[in-house]
Amino acid sequence: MTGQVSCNDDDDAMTEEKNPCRLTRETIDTRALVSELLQGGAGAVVTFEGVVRNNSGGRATKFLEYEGYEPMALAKMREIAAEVVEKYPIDRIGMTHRLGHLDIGEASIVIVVTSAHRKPAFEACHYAIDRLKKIVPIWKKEFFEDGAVWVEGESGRQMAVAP
Amino acid sequence: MHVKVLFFGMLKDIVGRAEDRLTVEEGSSVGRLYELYAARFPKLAEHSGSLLFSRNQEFAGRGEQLQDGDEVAFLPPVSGGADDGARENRSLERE
Repeated sequence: MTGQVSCNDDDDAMTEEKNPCRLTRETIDTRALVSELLQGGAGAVVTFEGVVRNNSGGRATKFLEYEGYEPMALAKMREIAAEVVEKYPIDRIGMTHRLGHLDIGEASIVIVVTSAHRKPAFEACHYAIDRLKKIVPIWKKEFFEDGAVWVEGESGRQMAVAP
Repeated sequence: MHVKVLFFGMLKDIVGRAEDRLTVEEGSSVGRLYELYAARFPKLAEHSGSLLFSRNQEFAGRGEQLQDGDEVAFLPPVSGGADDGARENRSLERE
């Protein structure tokens, strides 16, 4: 499978609606996404929310700012959705990533997977967030009492913001 | 050839702009763009090992040839949680 989703193909347009991938600057409404995806044949809904923690690297976090290369981030999210549908016997997957200012406890990413049975839903959701962390060009800057750092990479290596 | 170059995250802070437009020689590669910016902004070199590139919104290696009208982005490693180790970061660089 090439995993390429063309925006002009009718089938793929329906795929995008079936498995919505979105960016937003507003609070993510998780229940609305679940309601959107849920169809009669689904017996399981698995939801992942990545939320802002109150601390990082031994320091108290004030808030985060997320920025993204938006068109590429959306393209990569759609690729991941296509991968998930190919690999797991699920019904639908939806994902919304939030950009901009986020406070402690707010969700920056929500992934919802529906399927007839729970095992593939759990696996698909886990796969999706792992892939997202690897290939979606979105970055976060953590703001502390006395400065800010860009978080780099999976290891969470922190790079002090250039003065 | 005219190309548009985008910078994100820490790289945007170093270069001082989110977007730039450049004229480069025919046959230039993504790596050549990097060299031009690293020469002007030595701090970029500190990120050389982890910096990623895209060309027209697909990940690109330094050897990839540029064409007129290309959009190239300098990308920091993708930020994420700490569930997986730095090993995951290196797999992204090979893509």
